[in-house]
Amino acid sequence: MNNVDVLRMAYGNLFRRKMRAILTIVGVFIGTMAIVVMMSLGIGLKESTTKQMESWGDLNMITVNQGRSWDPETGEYKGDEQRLNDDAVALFKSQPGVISVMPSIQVNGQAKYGKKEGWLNLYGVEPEIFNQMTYEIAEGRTLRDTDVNSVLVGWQVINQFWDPEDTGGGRRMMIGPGGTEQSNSTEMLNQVVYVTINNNYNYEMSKKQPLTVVGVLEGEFKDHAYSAYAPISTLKKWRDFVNDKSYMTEEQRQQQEQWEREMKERGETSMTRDPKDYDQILIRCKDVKEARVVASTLRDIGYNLWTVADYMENVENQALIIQAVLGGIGGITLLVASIGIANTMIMAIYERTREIGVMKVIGATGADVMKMFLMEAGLIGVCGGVLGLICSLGASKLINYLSGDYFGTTMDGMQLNISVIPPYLMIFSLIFAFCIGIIAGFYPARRASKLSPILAIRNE
Amino acid sequence: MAPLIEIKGLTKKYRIGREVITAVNDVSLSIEAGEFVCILGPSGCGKTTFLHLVAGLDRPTKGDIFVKGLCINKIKEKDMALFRRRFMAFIFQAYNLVPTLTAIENVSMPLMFDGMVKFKRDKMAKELLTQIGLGKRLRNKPSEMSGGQQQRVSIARALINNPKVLYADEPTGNLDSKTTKEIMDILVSRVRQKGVTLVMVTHNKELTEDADKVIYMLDGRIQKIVDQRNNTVQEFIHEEVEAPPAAESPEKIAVEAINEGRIAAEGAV
Repeated sequence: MNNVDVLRMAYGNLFRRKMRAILTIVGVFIGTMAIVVMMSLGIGLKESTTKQMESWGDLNMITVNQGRSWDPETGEYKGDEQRLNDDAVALFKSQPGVISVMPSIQVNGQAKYGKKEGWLNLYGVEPEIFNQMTYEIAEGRTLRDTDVNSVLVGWQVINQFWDPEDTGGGRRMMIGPGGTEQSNSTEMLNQVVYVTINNNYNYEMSKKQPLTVVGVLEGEFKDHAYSAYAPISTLKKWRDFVNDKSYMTEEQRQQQEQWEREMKERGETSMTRDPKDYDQILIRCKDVKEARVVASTLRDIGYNLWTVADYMENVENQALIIQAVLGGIGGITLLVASIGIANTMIMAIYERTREIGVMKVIGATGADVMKMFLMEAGLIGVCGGVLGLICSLGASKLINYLSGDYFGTTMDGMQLNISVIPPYLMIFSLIFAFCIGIIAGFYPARRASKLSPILAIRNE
Repeated sequence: MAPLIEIKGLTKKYRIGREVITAVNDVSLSIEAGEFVCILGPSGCGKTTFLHLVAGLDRPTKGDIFVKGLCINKIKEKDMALFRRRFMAFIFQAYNLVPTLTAIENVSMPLMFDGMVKFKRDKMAKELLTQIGLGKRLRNKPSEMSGGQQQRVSIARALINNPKVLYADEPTGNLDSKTTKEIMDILVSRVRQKGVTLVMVTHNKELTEDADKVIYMLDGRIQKIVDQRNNTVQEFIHEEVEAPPAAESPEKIAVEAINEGRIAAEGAV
């Protein structure tokens, strides 16, 4: 018996008892719908949380700062204190899954832009490496190797400037979506910002440095939104000035020496960092998973680092639990539906006992009979599955529409859906519904296949 | 020439409740290829059971059935299906057509199980149905046909796979005398024309006229075999008669009384 005939026979038999078949299909339909809608809520939750996190910072990025890593549970330091120097850069680069490593030095200074005054968090970076980190440029251009005194600013940098003559007098506050006083840094494009840097040891000593804004970085809420990036060669010169001890007054020098003496007497060693070290190293990994692995390795060595990927694990675990609970509820519904299928098939076999026997007398094998009944049960599953899927898609749309006002968008305006049905869930639900049918139909079909042909005649 | 079917010491016992009933009792027989054999006997004489055993639908308690030298009661159920599909066919008293299928679909069913594609088997079924006078009923379902028409469909279904042996169990039992004659004419002419061996069970002596051999059965045993081609009679004398049950205890009688109600409903164990 070929498979086309199995399907043909099963289909023909399915609707012999129309009402019963329809009711059984409705059972599967409700079960499939329950499971798909429930799972879509779990998936939607995970996706929207992930999207929200991505708006804070790229999930595959690790930020390594000066300092030590510690175990948040015991409060104890992990590993040894590490320096952020070229050795560290080389170590990071050697980690599996790392795409690029960007060391940077940081110089902060008061800045003036037109009439406005403000503060600039300046990072000095190698333009070539910076461009490997795949930052997106909203306006203007990125840094070039030949650049001197050029700067790229983050989206919110403008909001760190204020006009002292403004009648409001206060500094602009960043307010979330829908906030009134919001502007972005694009107005700074091609303008010159003057940064005032002071010597660390003698605040009176200062320099005013001009920087031309060549571009604005994308990302309204990412952690680089308040940063500005300039060529490291420029900033190294600035830093040399900032850390220049020759500007110390005699009084300061004596005080410093006294501190060091006192510390020595107490047996402490001063942990002054090498001023030539980097302030921050950014690592971009292939994906979130790699980032998590790299982060944990480096943390154990002793680096002080931060990555959004850390939070992803918690989110994923929570989403998994919620998905399991919701899926479980849907699963119970489908289980009940599968009992319905089994019941229908057993009834069908009772009704068709003689027919089964006749088929066997005519030459059907047990396997033929089994295939026909399994296919019939599978068809019930598929019919219910298809109906359930179609209605789930509708239900999902409706849920998203109704919840849109409360749950609609991320901070930067991305559409978020509370219910998401990805293609794999569609395919999974159909296969699952078919398999439920097959499994539910297995026992009845096996019984049918074992019927003795003699029963056909005996049943008269 | 070796007989097509050879039956040796065939015995079938049923357990009904606590009682053992011997439906077929030590029957030996041989059937030649192309013969038309009638098994005649009153109801309850074991002739239907005998037919089922010979057709391989049921397994004997004792004895062997050889078809072309092959012992069919020892082969696997899966191979039996192939044997039934390619070698034999069966006609029932109650037609036993599949109610949801049309005449064509019913007739082509054995070919479907054999894996033939639909258009090919439907063509063959159509030809055969037209030959036996059902050309106008091709697309009808069994419920839309008379008993005689249904039995003709069932004959077509039996003949579609060109069987070597055709087993018929009271094929006219549900039909009036006029239709009975029509059906018998079709059946016998087809069988003769194609050289098919026909083994038919009946309680109607009139139907045995065309048969080559008539086997008289009673109480699960063959009484006599009449060869109508040369009018020879072979009688069988069964000496030992089953002893009547000994004096029974009241308890046993009570159990039997309970069992009697179940006999009809339950059938064989």
